[in-house]
Amino acid sequence: MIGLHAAASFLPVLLFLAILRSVDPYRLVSARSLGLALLGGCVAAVVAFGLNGVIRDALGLSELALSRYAGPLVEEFLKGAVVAILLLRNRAGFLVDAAILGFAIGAGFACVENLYLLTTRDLGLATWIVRGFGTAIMHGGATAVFAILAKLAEERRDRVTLVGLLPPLAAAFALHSLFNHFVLPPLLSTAVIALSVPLLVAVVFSKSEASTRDWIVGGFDADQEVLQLMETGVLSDSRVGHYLGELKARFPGEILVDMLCLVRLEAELSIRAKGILMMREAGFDPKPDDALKAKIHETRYLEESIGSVGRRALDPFLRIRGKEQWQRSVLGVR
Amino acid sequence: MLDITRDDQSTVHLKGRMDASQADTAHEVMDGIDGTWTVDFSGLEYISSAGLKVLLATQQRLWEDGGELLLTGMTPHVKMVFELAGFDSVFKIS
Repeated sequence: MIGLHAAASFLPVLLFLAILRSVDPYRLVSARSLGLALLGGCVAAVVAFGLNGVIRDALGLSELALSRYAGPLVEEFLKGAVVAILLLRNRAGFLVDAAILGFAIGAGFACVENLYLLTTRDLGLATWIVRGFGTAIMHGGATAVFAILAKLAEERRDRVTLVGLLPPLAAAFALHSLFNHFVLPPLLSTAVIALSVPLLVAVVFSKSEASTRDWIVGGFDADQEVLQLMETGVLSDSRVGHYLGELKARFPGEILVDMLCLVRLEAELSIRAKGILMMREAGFDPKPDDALKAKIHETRYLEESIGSVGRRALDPFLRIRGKEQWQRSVLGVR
Repeated sequence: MLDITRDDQSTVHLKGRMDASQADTAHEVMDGIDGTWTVDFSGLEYISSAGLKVLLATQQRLWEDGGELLLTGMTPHVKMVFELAGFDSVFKIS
């Protein structure tokens, strides 16, 4: 019977996570990032377990108040912190991978929570069905919502900010708290969650897939154009060339040379990253290329040589952050 | 403008620009081929990501049936883009 209970509590959320990752044609989330997200969710669950107890005792909360208000807030805050860390480390380039990573964090959290209950409580199969299809999917869904909204805020503000993370936290808390109120009978709540989370994710996937495709297509052609300008020696007549010409007065010659090398190298790496995504979309499985490591090392050397002022000067046409930083993870080299 | 033709030597000839506006035309022609075909790039001035996607999709379809596209006559720039993107792992380029 314990096997059936375990299957009901773990399999739905893990299966849903596997489906989520497999329907992404670009395979934006690497196995490593997925593992890190799951692990992050597990750690968040352990911390939440301790923190919930401390808060309940310190504030003298009832179990009901803890499960409806304090618990959801603490848990969504901790899971959200893991999302924020992954965003700060450029692990998500688009809404799709943000959603998958968010769901993975929630899945890791739910698995630890269910493992604890499996080993300490003797609950019936109906409860495990509710916990597996309802609570666990809710945990994944709430954190996916957090991650989607946090990614949108990051794109709007161009960086991850504390203020930008507050609305995602409020949304995830509201979803979690509402679920824990059990306004509907538990099995009906479970059915609503089990149907609405996939629907939400499907909408996000379809919207994000279009923007991913636009980014790949637009970026690939722009990078190719930069390379062609450099190859044919007419870069100086282009907008980029004019801009670099203006920088002559502000930077020594050797730094300008490094700037040009960096522009070229970034264009080359960007073409490879987008090429990998295009091959994945077409159904190929491109292998990591060790030769790229040398190029990545060279970009790091050039970035250091140019310095932070030089990098900022290149910002108008070479933004080495956000998606451009994230796309290096596509190369399989960091 | 893209001029894309097939001959009886199992060769597809590309001339002009293979960009987003010509991708549907290219798709129609490439959808009609089976087995192993050579794609002659010698008349091609420019290929964008839209054109590359047509070639990738065709290669995947032909691979499934044991065929493939062989690419020839590329300008140095187009060849460089293929190599930078890693497409040389998917296509044989001569």
